[in-house]
Amino acid sequence: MVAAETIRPLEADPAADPVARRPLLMKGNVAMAEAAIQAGCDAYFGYPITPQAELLEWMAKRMPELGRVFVQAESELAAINMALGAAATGARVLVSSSSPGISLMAEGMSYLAGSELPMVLINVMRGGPGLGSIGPSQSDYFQATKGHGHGDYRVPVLAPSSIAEAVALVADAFELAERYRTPVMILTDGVIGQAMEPVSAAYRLPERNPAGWELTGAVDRPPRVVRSLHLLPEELERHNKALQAKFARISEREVRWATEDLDDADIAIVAYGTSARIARTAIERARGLGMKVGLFRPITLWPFPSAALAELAPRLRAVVVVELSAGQLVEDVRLAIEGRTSVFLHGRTGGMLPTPGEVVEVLRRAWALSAVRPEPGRLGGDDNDR
Amino acid sequence: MVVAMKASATVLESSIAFEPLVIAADRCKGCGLCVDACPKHVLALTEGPVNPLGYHPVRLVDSIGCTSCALCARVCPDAVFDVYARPKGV
Amino acid sequence: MTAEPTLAPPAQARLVYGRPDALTDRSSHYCPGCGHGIIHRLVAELIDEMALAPRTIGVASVGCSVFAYDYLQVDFVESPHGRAPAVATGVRRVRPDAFVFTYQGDGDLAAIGTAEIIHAAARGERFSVIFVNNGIYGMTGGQMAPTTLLGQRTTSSPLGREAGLAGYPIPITEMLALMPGVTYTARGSIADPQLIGRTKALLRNAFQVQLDGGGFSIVEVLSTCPIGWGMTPVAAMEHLANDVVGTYPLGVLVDRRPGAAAAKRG
Repeated sequence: MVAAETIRPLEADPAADPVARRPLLMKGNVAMAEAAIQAGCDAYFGYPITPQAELLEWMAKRMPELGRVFVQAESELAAINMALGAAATGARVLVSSSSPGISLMAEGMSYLAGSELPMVLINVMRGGPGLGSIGPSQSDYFQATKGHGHGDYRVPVLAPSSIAEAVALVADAFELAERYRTPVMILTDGVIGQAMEPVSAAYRLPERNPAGWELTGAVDRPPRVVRSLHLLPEELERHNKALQAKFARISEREVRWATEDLDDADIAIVAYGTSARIARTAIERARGLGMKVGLFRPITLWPFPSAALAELAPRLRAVVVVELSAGQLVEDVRLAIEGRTSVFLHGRTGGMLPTPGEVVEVLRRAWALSAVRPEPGRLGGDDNDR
Repeated sequence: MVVAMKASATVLESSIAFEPLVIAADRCKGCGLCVDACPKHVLALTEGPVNPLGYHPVRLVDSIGCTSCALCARVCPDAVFDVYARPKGV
Repeated sequence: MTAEPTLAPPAQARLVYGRPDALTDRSSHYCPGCGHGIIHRLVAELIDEMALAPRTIGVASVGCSVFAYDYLQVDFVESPHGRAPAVATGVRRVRPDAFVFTYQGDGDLAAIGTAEIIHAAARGERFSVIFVNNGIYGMTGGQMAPTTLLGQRTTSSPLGREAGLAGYPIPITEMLALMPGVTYTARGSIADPQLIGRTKALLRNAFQVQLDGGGFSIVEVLSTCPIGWGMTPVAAMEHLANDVVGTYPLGVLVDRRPGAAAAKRG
């Protein structure tokens, strides 16, 4: 755990001070928390849950030091609603939790989206369903990308695959949230939350641009109301169309993905977060064995980089999805590829992580099967493959 | 019941011209709480015509009997009453 | 907004009571004789008298009063059912200078929102809660509430509330009074003009607690639901005056303001 004293005070100019630029070994949860603080987070609301308790604890220590708001709520349900209230006044708000707590926040996310309130929610995913386990997983992909709660809405979802990337995406998330007046989710897992990696102080403070909807007290202006209730069907339809137009704009402008070694690849692994890092090592080994494999790594899970993947698919003999779930990302991959090539899944659940060797085996089988039968099919290996 | 005002000024005209209550009849829902609360029994719901909301609104049936105590205004859920004190000699 | 008397007397007449400025100039959706109308009016009167409108951020809840923001001329945020005390906590913490209140019914506060109200009170959050208790769920058609009286018939207790099946009416405000973070807890009624006046005084005290930097304040206002109770508005007020107070006694439950009488400090 990094001591608070080694974090430069916010007034210091990082460019001038070589000490500030020296990488610090930081736990992911702490790095994300500090990134939020450096990004101007005004208020944090949360509840302890493994594996992200350190994020809350860092905020408990730092926010009062800086005269900002920290509340450990009585539940995740309360925390997301405190965030709603604070966000309604124009404050920059962070909430964090892990899978079971995120389920409790589903109602709040629907209200935040319907009321068009900006805020950032970090999910450090753990095994499920139910109480599950405290090991890492990626089994909240559906929950995150299909909206969590009731109603027609989407939420931008950013998926870092390293702690350094998580730090950068925190600032991006606040910016996205405020630009589009939407909650934004950062989807990480227990590995990213708990691991420790060198982090340069590459924090960023996004500008603030009050937009005229914030509740600040009706001084010299008519009162404002932040609401999601629109009882007249015509009115609610109009509101929903406006929301959908916003989601279309986000889909056009904010898609992000990364590719490695795809120029000459016959097989692409599609993976995000921690799975992508495991895949990277597997790809190195596979290349060493003569297989031409590359990595397609979505960074925004919504909006999903469907067009880029669809463009890539026809030149591949197979796509192998590696994820820490029973198969969630793979559905969006199949939708994007629309049958242009075979799609295989290697999924692990329960907090289990595939080894790079395991993934290489999977690539071998996918290679063999895709030569014989170009349609999507079973890899025929263990229960985790389809 | 509004009493017509005569053109020439004098005490007689003033004593029947003053209306202590201004009632927003279009907002009244005819709940009757004011009729029940009025200690002087000078309020009643109109019979026959209804207002645009479909209710029988309240009216002041005896202006002189009204003492501007404002109990009607204090029980009204729809804040339809503005209550004025009767000026001296009126 | 007030209007002139239709016939101008020789001298200007003095306005004894006028419609509060903080009330919007529109007819409300509340039923004839509904207590919400009276309570909204009291809140509006206090907002006018205490000059609070420019700094107020109200938190609307879910129930018949979900449209409170259409009737009170202040900034408002709509909260999910039961969550108003959590939403208000978020507002209050980032806006220390605002005047913050929640306006909640019995289902919102004492059923789905029980955890939120207790913990906001436990934290001594500096906002005021206006708790409208009419012992029924009006908006959804008249079902039983946690504060429904024993024996009371509702659409979900058609034979009358029975303790063995549905438990006892919950004394939530008495429970809140136990907590040190709670500065002021009182219960009023709107059954007649005098009680309405006293309730206004209780609300004024609660608002002042917040303005003076005190802790959590709540005023429970016993109210009527003529349609839900199956009574005329006048009969509903009588039921309130005669029967409801037996389960929910009026008065100041706890007063921890500096200088308050020792007996009331709880």
